[in-house]
Amino acid sequence: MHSSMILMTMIPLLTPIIITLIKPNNNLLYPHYVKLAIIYAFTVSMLSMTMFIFTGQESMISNWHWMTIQTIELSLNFKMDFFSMMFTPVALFVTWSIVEFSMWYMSSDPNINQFLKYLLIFLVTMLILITANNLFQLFIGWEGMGIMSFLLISWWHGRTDANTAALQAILYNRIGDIGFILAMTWFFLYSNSWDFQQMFILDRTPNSFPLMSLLLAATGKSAQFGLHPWLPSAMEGPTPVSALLHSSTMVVAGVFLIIRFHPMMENNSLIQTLTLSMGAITTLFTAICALTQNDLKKIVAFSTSSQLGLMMVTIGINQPHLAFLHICTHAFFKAMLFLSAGSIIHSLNNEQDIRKMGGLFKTLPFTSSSLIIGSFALMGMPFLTGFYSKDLIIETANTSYTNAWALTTTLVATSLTAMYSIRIIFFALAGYPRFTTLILINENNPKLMNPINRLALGSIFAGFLISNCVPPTSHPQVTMPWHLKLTALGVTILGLLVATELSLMTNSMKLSTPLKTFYFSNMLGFYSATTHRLNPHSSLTMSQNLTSALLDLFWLEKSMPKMTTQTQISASTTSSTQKGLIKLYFLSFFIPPMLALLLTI
Amino acid sequence: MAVARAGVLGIRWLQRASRNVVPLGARTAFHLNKDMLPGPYPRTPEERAAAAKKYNMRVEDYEPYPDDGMGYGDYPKLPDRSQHERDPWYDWDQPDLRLNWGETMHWDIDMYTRNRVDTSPTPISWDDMCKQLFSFVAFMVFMFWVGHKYPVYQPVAPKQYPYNDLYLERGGNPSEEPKPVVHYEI
Amino acid sequence: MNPLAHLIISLTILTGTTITILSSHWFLAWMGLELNMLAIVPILAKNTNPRSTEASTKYFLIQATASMILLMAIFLNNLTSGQWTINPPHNQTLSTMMLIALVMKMGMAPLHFWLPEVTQGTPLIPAMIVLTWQKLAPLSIMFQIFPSTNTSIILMISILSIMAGSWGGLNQTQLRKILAYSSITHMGWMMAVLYYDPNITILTLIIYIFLTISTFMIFYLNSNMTTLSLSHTWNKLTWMMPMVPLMMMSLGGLPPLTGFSPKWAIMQELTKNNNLIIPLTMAMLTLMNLYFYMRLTYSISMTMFPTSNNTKINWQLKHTKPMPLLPPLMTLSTLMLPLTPLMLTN
Repeated sequence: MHSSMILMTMIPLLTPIIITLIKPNNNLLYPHYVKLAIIYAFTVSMLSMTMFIFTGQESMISNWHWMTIQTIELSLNFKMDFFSMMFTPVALFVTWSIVEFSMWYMSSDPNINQFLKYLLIFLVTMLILITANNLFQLFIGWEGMGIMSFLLISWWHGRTDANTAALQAILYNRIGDIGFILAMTWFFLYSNSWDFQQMFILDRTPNSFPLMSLLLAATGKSAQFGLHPWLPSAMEGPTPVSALLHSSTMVVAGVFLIIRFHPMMENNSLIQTLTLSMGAITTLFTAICALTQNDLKKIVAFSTSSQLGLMMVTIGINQPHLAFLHICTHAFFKAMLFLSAGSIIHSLNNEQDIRKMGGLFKTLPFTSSSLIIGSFALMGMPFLTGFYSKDLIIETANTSYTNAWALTTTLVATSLTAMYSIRIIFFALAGYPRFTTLILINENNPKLMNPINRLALGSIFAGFLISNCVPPTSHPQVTMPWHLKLTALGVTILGLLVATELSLMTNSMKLSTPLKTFYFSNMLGFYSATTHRLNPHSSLTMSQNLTSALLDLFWLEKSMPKMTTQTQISASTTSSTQKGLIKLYFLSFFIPPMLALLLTI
Repeated sequence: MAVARAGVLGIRWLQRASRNVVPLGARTAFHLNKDMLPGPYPRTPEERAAAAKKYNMRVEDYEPYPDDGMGYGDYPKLPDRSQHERDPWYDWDQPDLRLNWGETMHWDIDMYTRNRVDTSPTPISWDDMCKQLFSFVAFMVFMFWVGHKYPVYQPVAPKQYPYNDLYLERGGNPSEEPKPVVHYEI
Repeated sequence: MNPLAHLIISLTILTGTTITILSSHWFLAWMGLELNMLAIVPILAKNTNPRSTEASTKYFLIQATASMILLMAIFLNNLTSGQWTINPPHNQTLSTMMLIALVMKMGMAPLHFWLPEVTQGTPLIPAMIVLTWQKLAPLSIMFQIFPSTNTSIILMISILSIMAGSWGGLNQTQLRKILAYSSITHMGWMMAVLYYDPNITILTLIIYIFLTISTFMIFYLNSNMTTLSLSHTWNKLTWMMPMVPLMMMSLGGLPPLTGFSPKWAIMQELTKNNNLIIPLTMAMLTLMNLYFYMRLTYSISMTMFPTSNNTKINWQLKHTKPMPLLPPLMTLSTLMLPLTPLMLTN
């Protein structure tokens, strides 16, 4: 019953994909098929999730044995534990809304069917990753998402910027994939199995190598510091893609991978420290970058990056359940933020600069209120969705025996969250209109309102519901003094106040040359500006030199043909240049007989 | 007569066909013939002028690569500027490359296309950017090390739950009940 | 030269070598060598110019020295064994002395310096005799004493000869010198296989003599002395233009031609005896021989040098040097490869 319901969740999602293979005509109803399939899958997965919560029974189904390579058995395995059962409905719910939204947003696109198909395949790969019970299946989902993100980001492939962004995404992900493949190889060699259960039983405390590789993989996929620049660049894709990419798929896959492998990591303090530091530096760095961006979508993108850093921090303090809770809650309000941003951008005739918005609270009341709900949920406003996970994370981090600096940076980043969120609200929604007149602002299409509505409800209530389902035994709850309890709220309010004050000051301040620190924030910490110039330049120049200088000039010319000629010429001239003097010949003839006789006597 | 004519036509057809199948003449392995390769390095002012004209350039702008045996020949040494730096609003003949028809390309044009090496000017100098980024990273790493050496710890107590602190829910053995933990003394 | 004297001298050359080959008495063999040597000196000096005289003097000095060393070895052999029969000496030192003497006589490295100069100093036909007939007598003695010689020394001498011949020939434009170096290389090949299968040595020698004689004959037709003079072949002997490349390739040992047969046999024999590096080295070094033969081919039949040309119809004139033996020799030296199995089964 239980397992057949899981299959019933997956199979309807595949039908629209298969339909296009059989009947690839441009069906006007195709977007509805996609939406319907997702709704159906969502409904069924809600049932199985409810049953799981009721019984609490983790299970694993093995459907099809594919092949056996020596001792490794590859089979189609689904793992139905807390993580996969909880996340599947969340992902389906969010994708349902996004698909419906893109039916409105992309309605003028001639290839909307293909677009929705890509979105659906993207979702399916994520579900494959979530439910995979062995590394191979996980890898299929992992790589599938990489490819689909490439295709979706470069959806408007006529634009070079979109192509560049897609290339960045796939290249950074490839660096992460190297880590993933290294880890797979290590497990292949040392635990003779790619099944999670067997790997965890065999290596409770493996050496750091596979874990480092997995961390690298997660760094690439989840855009942690060092491999982060692709995430803001990915905003070149259509807004529904950004929404899907940043809420429930792709970027959380890396964090999800670490959560999956947490049983191996929890006893390795080196990896814990690395994860914690990585998360902390990411959350601070990207929050700083978000502060001064003017592109609406970029700010939201950086906030995603910052939240991903927070999830990493949570895993770094050994709380995978809390990180997972944050993944789930974050999906709702982040998707909604993007959809609202999409609505605004669409209404303002593709204007993304928040300096050219303002006063939208009057013209787009519904979108504005959902944007505000989303921002508050992101900040961790009490009793909105974000509060339930974020507050818990900050509290747990506060009460842990942990790295002091990581904790400090996380707290600073939390207050910065409030700052950049209030900046969006202040610039885009409040004040006076700064956009051009004669724009047809319209937000009463049900295909736009329903998804945002649903997600707004999710952003308000989902956190409460999901956090109630997290078993209290999975993370130790502690009693704490009231100042610790209020820290999360306090830093957020502090950030909020500072941001409000600063934003008000901008109206009365005169323009001045920006400080260097401003550029650090505005130019994404100079990371892209330096690495994206230095690395390609050096590698391309090196390749050029290798081919032309080393290969052509040296290897194919100097090393063999020229060297042979030189050797032969010199050998020839030295061995046959003679004076013709018989005296010298006899003198030289004296030596070989002596040597020969010495040899034989 | 007709047979001879047919024979001649057939032979001509065979010749054409064989010429199509096997291209006659020297073909280089890299598909560049001598007209596509740069000419010899210009040494006299007249040669320079001729080369500049050949590459659609003014003589003042024309500057060949140094003649150091790398095979650049008379190809002009254009400034190392990315195509990304060029005017996005100009009506380029090839908008994706930002190139006009017949315009001489940089020798390493494949390096300076829009999605490779970017050379557009930045508000802050290269050194400053590197310094700031690396000092930020170095500072963070150092502080993480410090924070690792001196971790924080807040005195907290685990939350207590009913049912013997959720003994069964935590996966305890139901057949043997543990002794209830007593934190007080009477 | 007086025809009678010439006849007697020529007969003495023949007789000397034949005595050496046929005798089983050490002293008689030595005497044959001396006869041969004394008779060839006037032949070498036939032109009576200083160059020929110098060459014949050099030849005399070298051969006399070698003969003295050989004679000393013979006497010592007689002293130790008490007999004059030609047998492999039991004393290895004596063997080595004999080897050195014969190596000097045959003009192999490292005692080869005299050979190119003597060859270059004399006219074509005496040079041909020095490079072919004069090898027979020493090689026949070598054939009889090799079992007691030191194999390493023989192989070392062979490799050195091949090296000296290959590299020396690269540096030359004079045809007789090139052929002298070619002879050094070929002697190296012959000596290399001597220890393993002396019959192959004989086969190599025979084929080498065929090839060298026919080459010299071709050069003799036009009195060619330098590479440059070869470039007139198209005008003088048009029919020779396709033949000479084949000859040259045969000399270099390319497969479908006769010259390949001894090389094949030698390399096979050495490989059978678990020598891998030595035949490989020999083959690689001989590639350079092939290179300078091909260079000759280039100037004979593949290009026209920008040289002046007085009579355009030279090739139509009747030739004044009839050479009835040349066609069969050339056939033998190019087309004999299919007969290899016949030659090797003995």
